[in-house]
Amino acid sequence: MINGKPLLWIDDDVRYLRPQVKNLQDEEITVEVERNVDQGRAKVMNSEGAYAGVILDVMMSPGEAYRNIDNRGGLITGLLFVREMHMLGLLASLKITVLSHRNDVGAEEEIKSLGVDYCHKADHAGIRIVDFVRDQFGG
Amino acid sequence: MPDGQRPDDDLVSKTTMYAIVAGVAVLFTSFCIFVVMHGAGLLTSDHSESILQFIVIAIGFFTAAFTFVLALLAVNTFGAMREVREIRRDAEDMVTDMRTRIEESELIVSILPEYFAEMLHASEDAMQGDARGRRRAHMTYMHLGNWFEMLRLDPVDPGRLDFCREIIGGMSDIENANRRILEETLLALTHLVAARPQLAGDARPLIREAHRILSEMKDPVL
Repeated sequence: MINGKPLLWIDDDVRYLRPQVKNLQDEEITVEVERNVDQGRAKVMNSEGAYAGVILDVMMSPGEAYRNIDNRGGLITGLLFVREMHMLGLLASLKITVLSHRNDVGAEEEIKSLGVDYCHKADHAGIRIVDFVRDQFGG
Repeated sequence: MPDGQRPDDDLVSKTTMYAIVAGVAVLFTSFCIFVVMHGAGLLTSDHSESILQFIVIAIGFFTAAFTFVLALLAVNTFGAMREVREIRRDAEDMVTDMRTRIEESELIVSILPEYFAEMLHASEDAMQGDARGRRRAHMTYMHLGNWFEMLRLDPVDPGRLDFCREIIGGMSDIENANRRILEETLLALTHLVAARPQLAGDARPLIREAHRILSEMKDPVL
């Protein structure tokens, strides 16, 4: 737990997720993983302070919520997610950090302009993920 | 073997054969019953018994039983033939699958050395304190892993799209790109869309992105 709350990680990249989540759990940081962006979105919408924060991937299956929007085949699903949270005013009450493999300068700049940190998975793989999470979300 | 060349499900002809066999059996049995009844004198007013009537009754019953057994055998034979066809079809699918796996394995074997060489170089750069080298080593590992995971799925499994997305998206920075993996991923994506046109909407931007990356890679990074 971080400040008594779990962390929500929305990402469908199982290969990256599995070892990182294990590292976090070894440090007694509880992580709720949501591989489906629609369900992750629903959790965030109804969270009401239930999570210490959200780690979000950029490249994900677009799901039903973003299917009709130009998501570039899922390459910028995370950006659409951040945009929606910004429009709904949820970013003020919930810390979201983007963690992605993608090097898309445009998407990165837009996400940062909305007040959301954009970090690269490769820089925070392995046990480095624990320090990263503590830096980002406290605890 | 492609679908078009398969001995496809000949449901209509089988149904026709079953109908013919059943019809013949019914007609013959009716005829035998008629013979039996006639032999027993049930169709006439004369109910007197004789050896001849007994013989006719016996022949009638025997013929009816024989016809019934023949019909049963015919139905069993058709069932067995259908089973053989199903087994053959499954075997053909397995052979196709195994051939694909062999081709993919050969591809993997040919790619692995250069890939590990790249990981080695990137790791050596990282040892010198180069953060980009560390990232490149990680991405190299991720691309290869995602590609392997993708190959484990059936070539027409929609789940391949997610792996294609990870690979292509991760190579958007051409420093982390690998031409061969990208080309193979593009090929897999094209096959997937051909087999499942409903995925075209999601796949088309990825294909465009892959082509963009390939066009920007003047020299293969690896």
